[in-house]
Amino acid sequence: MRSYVLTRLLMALPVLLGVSLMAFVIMHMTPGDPARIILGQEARPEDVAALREQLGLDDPVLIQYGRFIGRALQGDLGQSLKYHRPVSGMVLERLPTTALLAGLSLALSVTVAIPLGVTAAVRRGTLTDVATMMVALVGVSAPSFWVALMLIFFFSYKWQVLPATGLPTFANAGWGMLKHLVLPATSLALMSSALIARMVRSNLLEVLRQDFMRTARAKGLRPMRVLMKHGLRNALIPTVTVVGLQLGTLLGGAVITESVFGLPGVGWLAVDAVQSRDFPVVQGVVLLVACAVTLANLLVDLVYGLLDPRISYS
Amino acid sequence: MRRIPVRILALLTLLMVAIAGCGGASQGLQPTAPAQTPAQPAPAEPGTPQDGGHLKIALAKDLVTLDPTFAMDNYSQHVIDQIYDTLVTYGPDGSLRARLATDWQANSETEWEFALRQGVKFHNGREMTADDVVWTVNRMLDPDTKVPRQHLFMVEKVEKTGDYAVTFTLNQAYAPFLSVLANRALSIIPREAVEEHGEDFARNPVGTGPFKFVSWNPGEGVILERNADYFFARPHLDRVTFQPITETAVAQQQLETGDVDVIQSALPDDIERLKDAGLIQLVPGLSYYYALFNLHPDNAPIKATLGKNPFLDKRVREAITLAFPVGDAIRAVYPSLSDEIRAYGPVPNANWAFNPSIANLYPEPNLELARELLRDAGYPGGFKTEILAMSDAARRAIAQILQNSLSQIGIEATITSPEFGVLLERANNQTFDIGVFGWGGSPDPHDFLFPLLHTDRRGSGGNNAYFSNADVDRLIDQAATTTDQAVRARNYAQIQEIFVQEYVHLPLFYNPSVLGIAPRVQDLKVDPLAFFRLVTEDVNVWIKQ
Repeated sequence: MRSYVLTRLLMALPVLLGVSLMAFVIMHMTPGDPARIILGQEARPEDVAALREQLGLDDPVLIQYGRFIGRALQGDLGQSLKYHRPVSGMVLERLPTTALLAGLSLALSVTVAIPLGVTAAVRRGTLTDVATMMVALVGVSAPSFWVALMLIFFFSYKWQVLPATGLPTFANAGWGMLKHLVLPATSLALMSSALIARMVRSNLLEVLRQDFMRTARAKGLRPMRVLMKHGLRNALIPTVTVVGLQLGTLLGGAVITESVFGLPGVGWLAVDAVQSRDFPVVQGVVLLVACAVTLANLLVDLVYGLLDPRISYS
Repeated sequence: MRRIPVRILALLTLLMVAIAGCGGASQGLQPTAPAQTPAQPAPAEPGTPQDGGHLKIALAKDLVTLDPTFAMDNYSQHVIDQIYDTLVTYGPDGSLRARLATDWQANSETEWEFALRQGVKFHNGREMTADDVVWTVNRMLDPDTKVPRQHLFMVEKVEKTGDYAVTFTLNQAYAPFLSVLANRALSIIPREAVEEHGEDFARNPVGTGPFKFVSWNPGEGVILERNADYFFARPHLDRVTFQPITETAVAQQQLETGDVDVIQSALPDDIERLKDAGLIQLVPGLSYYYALFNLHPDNAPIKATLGKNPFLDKRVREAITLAFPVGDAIRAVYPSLSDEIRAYGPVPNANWAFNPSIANLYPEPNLELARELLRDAGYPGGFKTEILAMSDAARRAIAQILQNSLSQIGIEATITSPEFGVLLERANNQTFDIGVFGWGGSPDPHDFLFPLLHTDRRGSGGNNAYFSNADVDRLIDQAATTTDQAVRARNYAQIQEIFVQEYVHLPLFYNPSVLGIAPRVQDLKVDPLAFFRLVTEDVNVWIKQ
């Protein structure tokens, strides 16, 4: 198991290198001079030129990338062009917010989606099934931006029961903080839960037709035990894959959700960095997300072993 | 058999508890510390300012730094305005006012002497003296400081000439010098605070302004508290919070529910409704919005299809001007402000340097004459072109009206509104045909005319039209290097006449300053640059309890 994990982690290195190179090249190919964007349209050309030199933007792209990688290998992600602060500090400062948001959304998705998917599968063809899948279809189709604005409109503006923006500091964590995360987490969880519910339903329907299910029922086991222990457990293997992949989607969705709800997370930082052409910050965020997705996939593979004893990594 | 359902039940219960816990309160932004409002405020006469209260201001974006020397963005500058003071400043009417300086005079064209206000205290309790002014200026001049913008490029040196007196020596006569000192980048800061915090001074600011810094957390924004020793007046407000809310629709809803007190902008479609509801302050601004023709001989994309740049022919520029009903276009965008915000050129209509006679030099819209001019210029069937417009709703709307006007004289235009960085790149490289851009500067006419029209600023320096005229250059240079106001006024008047005769721009309007203000907030006034100060010599914002 340990050697498997180590191998996977080593294999992740070229992936991370490739991702960072792609992000670097794409950002540098995008029109827009960071120095001009930082200083504004009114800046004197001599000030823009001085800032470009100071930020090392006049060097060839490959040299800039080499400099970045050299520093990154030593754990230094460089300085933000706009904020003049270390990128690693900026990203780490905002990571807990995004982690909390993504974690809550994932928990919410799984909590809501699995019972819904199971119910729809067990009551296949009934009104419950149709209604559940219709809701799931809407959930998959509705843009998270629109969902976020609708949630704010009803819960913050019309009924005024939940705050729309901001987040208290972690020092004041508690109900006050959770209250600020209910709407963003719900908006982010909607698409994932719809997708997971559909996956659980179809996988469970597949499993329910298997011979071993008939055998379990024939043995006289209670229907709930048959469903949960033999049915759902087997149906969860492909579902876990989707849940793992959803982490990447959730981190991507956090970009929009955090901006709309004014949550100071990595997603909001990414939007600001792209708009300002703050290359080091974009690189930092991309690397962080790539690491998170890589680790999530590794975790998913390890969970397979827990769900299905036939899968072994020894 | 029971394990999984019990887990699911537990998670569902947790979720329900969480949601139930949220149901009771109807609060939006949660300050870390309670506002220091007196428990039982004394009843006050209506209209009588009351002490206390926590003003919550929504910024349209996150701020970058609270070190004024390095603050380039509008959002940081809003907070900086409440923490620091400059030597001089501009009042809402565009006139220069004393702030940390009480008096000043030009001893010669290159020497300026300032008397400083006495008894002004920094937030750390120390008195501000001439040493602080000298240190602040030298900090900006020092190449090691690596300031992003060198505002003091005209300053040779600054000297202390008394405990409360400083003298600036310029390397050349520079008429707009006072407008440079009014820039908030020249806010006076205490040396010991910068030396104590180093780069972290940006997050631990110390100034002389009406509010002291308390905290800055990404989720809660910046919190300030009253500086009871402020030299103009003791602020009425206990606390002020600046919280970034990037989504305009959300900020607007927060204003309407009372969760925030001030917002920086509003959705264009809602401005009139909010104005009628008393939630919007809309005043004529100083940001010059204009359409321009690319006069670069080679770079304009249209050259690839036509073989030459048609906008180099003055008759084409005149034809487009004749086809475009500017007044109607402004009325479509800002129905309640159309006439008072109309622009006739880069110098604002209320500015001392504005030449009112140029309003009559513009021809009335005349489609027949426009078509005739195009025919004479060799484009009887018009041509295809592109309008590059800033992506805000006002300029998009103007671009669409211009597109419609152009179609009436046979010019088929498409509209492109890329993301700001891309647009800036195209504008600065002259890779556009017609642009709908904007320009904001200080109220000094030099800050509009020099960057927008001088040959030295062709390309990326503001003169995106690539306009060049030797007479205009000479007049601008002469006006910038004399302190004789009459000479400056005469030169600027001539420049404006040439500007109209050459059809350099299609001036549109001065974009109004918009500020959403909750009814409980009293005495808050947005200035023409869309900024506001909470306490000045004649303003002290308060909250109706």
